[in-house]
Amino acid sequence: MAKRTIVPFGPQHPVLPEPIHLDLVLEDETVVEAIPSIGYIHRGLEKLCEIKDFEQMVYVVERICGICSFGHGWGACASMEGALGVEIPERAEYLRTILHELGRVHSHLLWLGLMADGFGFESLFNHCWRIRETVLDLFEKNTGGRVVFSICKPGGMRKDISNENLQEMVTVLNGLKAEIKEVTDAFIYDKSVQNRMTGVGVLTKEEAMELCAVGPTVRGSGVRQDIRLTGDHGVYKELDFEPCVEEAGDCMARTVVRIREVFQSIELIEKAVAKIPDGPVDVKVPKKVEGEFAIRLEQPRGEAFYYAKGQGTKFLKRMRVRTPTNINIPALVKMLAGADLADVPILVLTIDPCISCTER
Amino acid sequence: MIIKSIIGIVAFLVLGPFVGGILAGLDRKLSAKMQRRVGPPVLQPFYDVGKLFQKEKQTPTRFQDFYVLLFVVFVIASGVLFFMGGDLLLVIFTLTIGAAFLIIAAYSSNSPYAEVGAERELLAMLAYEPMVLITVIGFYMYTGSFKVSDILAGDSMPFLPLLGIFFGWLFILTLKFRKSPFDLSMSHHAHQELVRGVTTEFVGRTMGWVEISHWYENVFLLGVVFLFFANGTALGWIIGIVVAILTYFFEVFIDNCFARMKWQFAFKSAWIVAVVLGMINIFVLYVCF
Amino acid sequence: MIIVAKIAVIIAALLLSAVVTARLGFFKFGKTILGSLGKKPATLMYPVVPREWEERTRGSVSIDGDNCIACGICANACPTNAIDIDKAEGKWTIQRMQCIQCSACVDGCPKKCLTMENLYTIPDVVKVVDSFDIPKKAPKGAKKDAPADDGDLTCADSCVFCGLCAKACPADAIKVDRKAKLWEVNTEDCVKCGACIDKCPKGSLSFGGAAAPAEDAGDDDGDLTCADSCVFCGLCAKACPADALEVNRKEKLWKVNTEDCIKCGACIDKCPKGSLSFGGAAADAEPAAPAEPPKKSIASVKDGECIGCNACVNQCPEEAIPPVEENEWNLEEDKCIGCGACVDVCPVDAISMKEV
Repeated sequence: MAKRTIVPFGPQHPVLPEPIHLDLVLEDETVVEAIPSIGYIHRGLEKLCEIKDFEQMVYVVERICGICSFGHGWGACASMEGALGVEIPERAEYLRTILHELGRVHSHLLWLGLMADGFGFESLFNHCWRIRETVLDLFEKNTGGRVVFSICKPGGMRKDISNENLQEMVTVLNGLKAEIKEVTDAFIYDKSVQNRMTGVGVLTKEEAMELCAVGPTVRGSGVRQDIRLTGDHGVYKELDFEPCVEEAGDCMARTVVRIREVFQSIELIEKAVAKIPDGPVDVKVPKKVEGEFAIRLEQPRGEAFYYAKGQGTKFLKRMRVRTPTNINIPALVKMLAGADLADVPILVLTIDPCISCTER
Repeated sequence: MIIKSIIGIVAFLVLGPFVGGILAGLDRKLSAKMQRRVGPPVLQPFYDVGKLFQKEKQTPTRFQDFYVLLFVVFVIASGVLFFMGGDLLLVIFTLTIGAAFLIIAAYSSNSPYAEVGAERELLAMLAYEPMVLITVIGFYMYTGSFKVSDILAGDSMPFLPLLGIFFGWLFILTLKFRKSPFDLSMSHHAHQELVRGVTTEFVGRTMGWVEISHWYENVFLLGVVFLFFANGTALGWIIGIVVAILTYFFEVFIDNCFARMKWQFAFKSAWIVAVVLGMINIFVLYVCF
Repeated sequence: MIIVAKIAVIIAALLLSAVVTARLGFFKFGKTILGSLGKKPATLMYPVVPREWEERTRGSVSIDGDNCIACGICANACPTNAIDIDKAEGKWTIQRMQCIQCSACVDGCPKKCLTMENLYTIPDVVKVVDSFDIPKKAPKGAKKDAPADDGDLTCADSCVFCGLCAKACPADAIKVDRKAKLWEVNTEDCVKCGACIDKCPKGSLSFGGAAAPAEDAGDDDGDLTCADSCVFCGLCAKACPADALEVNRKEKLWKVNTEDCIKCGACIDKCPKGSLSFGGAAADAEPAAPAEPPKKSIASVKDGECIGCNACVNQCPEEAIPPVEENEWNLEEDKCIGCGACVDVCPVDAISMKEV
């Protein structure tokens, strides 16, 4: 048996965007086993939700994560609206869908950049993030925030976005398509990138199902699973939504899923903007929450789950958030076993880890 | 002759780090341009090294500094030997010994990152050494001498007869400069799985010296590129210097066009290049000259 | 000849190597990289080069201290407890590094004295705390002769459950149910801003214990009646919180639904002609409809006294006064119904009614 080395990987490691700790047991440069441990940025946000007015807690839940911030805000609002028994106006539902898909574009572009950085392609990384800036500018123009938008509230939206601005958003995004294609072609067709990603970290369909993977991780393994299909949230039913699925199950497949989703999101935004009805964007909600409600949402990273329980006052009794990264960690550990040390960053990034989501 | 050698030595010792630093600064500026960034000032590498020299001295083992010192000495010595017109064969073996000391220094730290980096550096050495040897042999076969001063004094450009070897040398320059796709043992920005590979455990002054010797090394490596165009005339000098600088920028371009490859790929491709380009070129030389 | 051949060989070699690498699938990103060389950097030398902000950009909260009533709604709304208010000292304090720019305080402010500025707080090595002066707060209830400010909000027996206070409450702390004759304040939510006290038509609200003396507005017992001086301007109907009044100017109709009327008196305060009262005689709610108003009176303005504030223009129920330009006050006489609403709002008392 070859000599075993244990490489402590993280929580402070330059290639990791967020603190997760992995003990990599190496034989030469092959990972025999990976032991993950988390808990480095637990902030107690769920508990915090119980000590302040539920309407203000949206701003706290949004700050669970800086990337899927809009989804978190939506999830929190939707679960509270369910508990309150409030129906929100259709225009608000459309606006939420549009912003959520815009959030997916920026999240996936960010991830593509991080992935490029993971396999040492710095220029690709910088170009991905440059394009993402345009999307962030759109957010700033329409919501006032670049990463944390604070535009959802229980009962609808805090601000309306005018039809002209929505139209402009579509124009800008359509203009971006060529630039995004230029960058994503480098991911799909460049030989040196293919060399690093094709056939790496294969997760078969059965394994993906068994390990309960979610989001692009499971869709990259050929499973047609997407919470947007259920129609629980948003107006995806009216937009002829069909998830992007790839069969190969390796890093390349997961990357292609996300690349296709970027373009799909832009299309969804275009369709939604064409269909959006006029009308109010919010309704008045009761001041006291009773009852409980749970809702699932398709975040850029996969399925997220939100649960709110009231206690007849303005304070919530419990707010629970379960995030996609949490569910994808078993799949990650499975992929890491038997991988090359050089592939570890790619594999860790391939599930699009958001550790601050996981720990809240 | 001796005076010429002394001029070469002094010029290399004084100008070497200056030119190397400026080139590193231009590299960063150019990379930034390619990535649509503004980038740091051209003199940034000097500021960085200046800062490194002010840092607290901290090393995991005291032997490490000794090995790094030897690395610095041997790298500079190889450059000195080259620029005073010495034996090309001696030059490359001195450089190899220097590289070996850097690897030993990395091993001595006992850090898993540095160790894996050192292993990869060893593999990289295995990958590029054949081509380095072939280059030297090519020069010998064409000019009939290992001595740099003789090659410089030769009356025709070795570039065209050594075309295959020139491209082979370009290829391994990527390995020697540690640019993408072959920055596997130590990347320029500590953003890889090995943090910064070989140099992970070097700090402060030690790191500063490693940086400076890399500048020396880069100037020497570009000097070899220059050697391909030397024919004893002013025109040869100008072409040589221009091509050497262009080569450096071409490496920057390659750096920006590639993902980091694994050592298997580096090993395979370097040997294929050595065999195909180098060996065929040597064979042609053997038949024609 | 030889030189040409040499150059041709070099070019051929370069082309060959370029084709080989491209065929192998490398340099897919090369075009973008080389193209970027000629383009301007996408990054900005911020803060040396200032950014252009969007209108909605949330940077930092600022306060217009003069309008602040120290109600504390912003401090309550802040999810991160970044805002502190010292009523006695007259200080409004924000911990800049704790603020998350959610803009909840700005939305909550009843006086609209908070605004969200575009500019971010400048980064610093210490946690920046900004303090602003606001008017020191005299007990809010004082003008209504309330005994103390510290007490909870109470409502006297004179309450008619009109619900105007609940509407005015920025914190939604008051609950009024007219049918159940229920008036309730949630003391936890109440921020003691006093907005409800200002609104109450009966003056029943106060902070702390003793109810303000209920003004004896004549014989309160009678139903609401309207005198002949009525010009059917409809201001009373607009003011009625219970929607009990119906006014139709064309048909010269003024009607009160006595069942709905809660006798709050809000309409009496509004009536420009002073025609309304809780009159003793429970007369037929319809005043002599066929009776012509004895004389028509219209508004007129004293020469040179108009300051062009347009207050009357906004107040006129008939839009009989066109917008005042360069202090040139006009009246479309046929539209004027002589209600006198403009006289009441004129800040310089330049308007009076004259008979024609």
